[in-house]
Amino acid sequence: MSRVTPQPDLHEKLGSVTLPEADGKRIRIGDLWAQHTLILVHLRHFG
Amino acid sequence: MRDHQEQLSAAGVSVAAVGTGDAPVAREFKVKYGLKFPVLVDDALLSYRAVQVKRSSQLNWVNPKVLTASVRALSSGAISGIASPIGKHADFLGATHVIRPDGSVPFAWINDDFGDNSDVDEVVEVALTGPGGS
Repeated sequence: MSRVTPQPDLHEKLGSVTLPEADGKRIRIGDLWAQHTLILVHLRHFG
Repeated sequence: MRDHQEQLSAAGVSVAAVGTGDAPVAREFKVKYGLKFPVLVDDALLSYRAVQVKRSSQLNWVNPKVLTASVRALSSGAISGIASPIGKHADFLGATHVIRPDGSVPFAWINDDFGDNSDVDEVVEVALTGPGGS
């Protein structure tokens, strides 16, 4: 079981990160939760 | 999470996945699993470090729970058919977060080992409850 207390500034640290989507379009992660609740899953690998 | 896409979308909840590797592998992964949500590529580990994803220890590879999960994944074909899915960051584990528009994080899960995944139903329930959900 690894449910943890979130870092208090997680949204700030994570929100500014910009990454390419699979199609190449760059997305600022913070934009993904600007309007809606977001479930963000960090995968171990694509597989 | 794939099986809850429609339910979450209807409730106004977004989903995104982040993986290491490169865009072609991410595209293949997205197509193979029929994912409609964004799949981001983070080979520089910027977001992994931001959420403090753990790295596996060598002992993880001989953990019976990990071996069982690996055999299950291989036998189900879950990690076959995609070129180089693991990439160069094989020791980085996973994480799951629910983040609301106000920046609050009602659910945070950091994997402790290879077999330590968050419960999808619990994540969906948290996401659907409260502001920004249904």
